[in-house]
Amino acid sequence: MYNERTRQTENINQLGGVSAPRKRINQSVNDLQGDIPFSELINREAPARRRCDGTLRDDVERRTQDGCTRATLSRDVDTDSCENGRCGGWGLENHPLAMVYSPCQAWREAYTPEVALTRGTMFSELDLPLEAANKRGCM
Amino acid sequence: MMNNRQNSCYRGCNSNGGSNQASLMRKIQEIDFSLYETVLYLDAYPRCRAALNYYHSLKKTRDALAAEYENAYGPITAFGNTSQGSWDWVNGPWPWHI
Repeated sequence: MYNERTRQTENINQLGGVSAPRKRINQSVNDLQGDIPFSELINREAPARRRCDGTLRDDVERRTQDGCTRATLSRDVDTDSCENGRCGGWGLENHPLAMVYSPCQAWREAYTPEVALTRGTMFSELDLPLEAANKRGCM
Repeated sequence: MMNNRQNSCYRGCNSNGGSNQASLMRKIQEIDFSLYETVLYLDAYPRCRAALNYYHSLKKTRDALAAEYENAYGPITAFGNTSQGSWDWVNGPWPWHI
């Protein structure tokens, strides 16, 4: 079977030595990748999502890579930063109804363990008055 | 057929359940709850350094309290049964009896 590796081996055999074949292999790898930046490559992989009426959505997903983590983000989502009590906007305008969302939660000073177990949550922003007048839910 | 673990009275009745034991277990349960809360947060935001620091702080306290409890009163969970010669796990009260 003739493939890229076979061609490289032939180049090595024809040129002989060590340094020249290595240069040739590097060139072939560059030929495969071209000069396209990685950011553009991953954008090309993103599928074009369409609404049910066929129009193209403007929040085409793209993959981002950050160290050892890999995540799929929507273009209109700013960040998942937890610092300084700030949160990125979610850009939920024009999204369809009845879709699940989960806003970004910023890390704040937590309840002490004693208070947390009593309140049923460690986060003051989640300590919600779900029981009003000793009854749950809307009345 | 009734074995020791099915008979909750076996564990519950053999303990005097002192107030210090109950107090220590309460502290462990409080720390465990906050640990789980922190774990859930870190699952969603694994790069949040402040949450990671809090996790390690709680974990250090939890390990110390658990060691203190198990040395004095026996295993907290079945996996804490370290005795080679006896199954100590059934000798203490169930957590909900403390």
